[in-house]
Amino acid sequence: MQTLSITSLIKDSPSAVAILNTELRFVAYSRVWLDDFCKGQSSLTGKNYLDVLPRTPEALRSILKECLANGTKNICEGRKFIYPDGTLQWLKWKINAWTDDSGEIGGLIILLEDVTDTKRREEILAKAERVGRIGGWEIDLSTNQLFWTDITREIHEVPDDFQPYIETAINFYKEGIHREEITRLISNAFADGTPWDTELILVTAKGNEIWVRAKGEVEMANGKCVRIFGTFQDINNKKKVELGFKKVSERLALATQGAGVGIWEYDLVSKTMVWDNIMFRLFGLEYNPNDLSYETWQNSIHPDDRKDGDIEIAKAISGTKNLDAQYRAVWPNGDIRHMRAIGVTQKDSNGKVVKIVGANYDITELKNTQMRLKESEDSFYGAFEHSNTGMAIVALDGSFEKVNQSLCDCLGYTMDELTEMSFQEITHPDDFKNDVHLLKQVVNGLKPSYKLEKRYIHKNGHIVYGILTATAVTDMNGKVLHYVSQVTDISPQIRTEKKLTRLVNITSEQNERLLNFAHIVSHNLRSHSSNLSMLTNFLIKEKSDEERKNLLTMLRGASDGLNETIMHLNEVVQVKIGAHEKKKDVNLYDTLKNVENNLSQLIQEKNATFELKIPRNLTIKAIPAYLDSIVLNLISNGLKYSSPKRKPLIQISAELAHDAIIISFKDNGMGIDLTRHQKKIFGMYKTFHRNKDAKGIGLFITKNQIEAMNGKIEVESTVGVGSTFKLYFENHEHYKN
Amino acid sequence: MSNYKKICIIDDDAIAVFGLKRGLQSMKSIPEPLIYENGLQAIEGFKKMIEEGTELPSFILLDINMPVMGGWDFISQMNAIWPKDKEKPTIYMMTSSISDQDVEKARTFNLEKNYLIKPVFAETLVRILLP
Repeated sequence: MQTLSITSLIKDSPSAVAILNTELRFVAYSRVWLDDFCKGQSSLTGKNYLDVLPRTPEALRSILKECLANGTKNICEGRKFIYPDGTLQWLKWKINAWTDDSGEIGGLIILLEDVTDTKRREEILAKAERVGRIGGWEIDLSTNQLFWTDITREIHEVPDDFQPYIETAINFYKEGIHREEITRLISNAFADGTPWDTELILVTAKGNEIWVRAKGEVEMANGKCVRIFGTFQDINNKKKVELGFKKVSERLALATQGAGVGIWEYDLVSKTMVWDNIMFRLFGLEYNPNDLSYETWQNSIHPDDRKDGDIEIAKAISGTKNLDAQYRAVWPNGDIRHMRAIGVTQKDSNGKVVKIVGANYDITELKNTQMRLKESEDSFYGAFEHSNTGMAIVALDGSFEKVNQSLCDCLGYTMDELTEMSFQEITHPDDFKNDVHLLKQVVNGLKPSYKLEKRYIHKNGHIVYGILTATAVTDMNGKVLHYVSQVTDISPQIRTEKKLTRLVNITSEQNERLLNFAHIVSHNLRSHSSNLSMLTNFLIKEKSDEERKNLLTMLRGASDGLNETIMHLNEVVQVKIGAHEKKKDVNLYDTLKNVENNLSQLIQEKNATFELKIPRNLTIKAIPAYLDSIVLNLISNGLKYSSPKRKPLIQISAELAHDAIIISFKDNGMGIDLTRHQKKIFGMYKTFHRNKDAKGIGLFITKNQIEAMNGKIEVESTVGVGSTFKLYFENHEHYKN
Repeated sequence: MSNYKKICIIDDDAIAVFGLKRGLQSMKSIPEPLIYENGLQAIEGFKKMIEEGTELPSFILLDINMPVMGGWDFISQMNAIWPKDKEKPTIYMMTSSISDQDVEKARTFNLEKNYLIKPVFAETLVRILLP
């Protein structure tokens, strides 16, 4: 029978096949069906499909019912089902309704396959592909078409319907070494089947540059390439990290190289030492990493520093502190270099130190600089303390921060006293402004230092002449921290200079007087001697007694004249000698009053007015007799040469100038024509008025007397108006010198 | 007989004037000299002569050192007032000084040859006054 033959045919089918009737009862089935879906059951014939396979999912039950009802067929390439117990099954089926001879639906033919394993593998692969961003590709050599998986497309950032060819694929690689490399690799693969595995840069359709790992394999048949396929992986992030790391390492290497920092590592377990090339250079050794041990380092250390070095290392190993040591290294050529080593320890899981990693660098220059700085400071303070020049460190407000003994000695203060004071307190008031002016220029950065000749006040009040050199000490930003002042005491030089100037003045004065004297002798004495010689000449020849008597009278007059002149000269000489007399404090008012009394008769005769505008207590340094003589001469001149046209008025006043006391004698007399007589007015035997009393000796003596007291006399006069004589006396009251 | 009709002595030293007068008296036909005590007096005297139209001196013995106005100042003043149509007088400077400075000064007035050192005796006067 036909049915039987079909049944036996089905039984041996290599697939799981079953024939069901309209009630879904098994009519026939293959052994494979029994093995695959109904393990352990002997016969299924007549049994209901759903009884035999109770787990059949609802979806499949519906399909079965539908196919039976409508006589349709249903094909499924694979569908995943998850059962209530959580198990997973992939099923693939083909369901057909079958009809009997009369065309009625007789039942269903079911071809069922459990594809769970295959499907699961596929799914994992797809997942892996997505997670690892691994795409696949294959070249169909018959069409030259290239097949890309979704991920490959994604990596290239192209749309889903993008159709690649070999050329377009190659052009995605970055122009230059990347494209050249992939071209070379593919050519090799075509030629002899060499597979490849490389990392290159790709430029995506959107223009992004990414790193990819490209793998390719070739299938050869009869020495001919038949298939090329491979994978394609996005490794951009990984590569970037890798490259970044490489960059950092290189930069570190460059930095350590440039800074001369050597890197070392000491493994305490294996007792091995690792140095980089800079370490060798720092110790003056040949680069020889194979012949290196802890001893190499130890032997390079200066013998005196070895013990300390070992202690530092021991401390680091015991974990007391991180390594930070300074020591001297001795180079093979004997050079000594100062080093600093710092290191950190690495511990194992038990907390035991197993490794020390550290850096080592040369600090010789730093050490030398420090030493030189100290030397420089020491030598500055040494110079400061022992200098013969007065020195001080002066704060911005002018107070003394530090002074040396020389400065104390020249100003008379102790060091403690002076450091409590400021430069303002010891500066002469007249020099203060100048000093501050220069100091301001230094503060404002106009100049770094200044030099000034100035006067200081000694503790006991006298003046100290000094040359000040003040230099600003600034910080790195140019801000003034303090000043260094150097004061050279030039008082002895100044005193000598003053003495010399005085001597020169005295000498030239004396010369002038000598000339004056020669003049007096040549003119005045000579005129008397010529008269005497003439008269005696006449006398010898004269016979007449009466005439002889007359000549003798004249001879007597001439000898009297000679006598008078000699007396005057003697008076002048006395003034010179008298200059050695001591000057005293003389009250000017009293002196003038006294003279006024002595001249009271003359004043009355002339009906003169006498005005005295002199402070009662004004005293001047003078030789009393000279002052009397000068005042008497000036007042009596004023009376003698009064104008007959007006009532005589004599005004005497005093004025205090910077370093002199000036006394003025003003009259309203006849006046003197100074344009003609300026030079002669104080000369000997100069008279300017037709006055019988005029001898031409008074002003000459007055001038000599005032000059003998280191003073001077000046005159202003207008003919017909009057004269003013001014006496200048030295005034040292301002400063004690 | 002298060429000089009017002689003048300007000197403040009375004894010197006495000596000069005595010397002049010893010579015959020499007019009595005019005497002035200083330069200013002489200038005033000359001004008066010019005003009155009387004859001015043709010979002057002039002392250098005098009060009020000395010899050199006198020459300057005299040159200033002297009428242009009148002949300048012959001047002899006299001084008791033996200092070289005075001779130098005389040179500036072209009078270094007319320079007499006191005392001036009759012999000297005869030499300079008589031809």
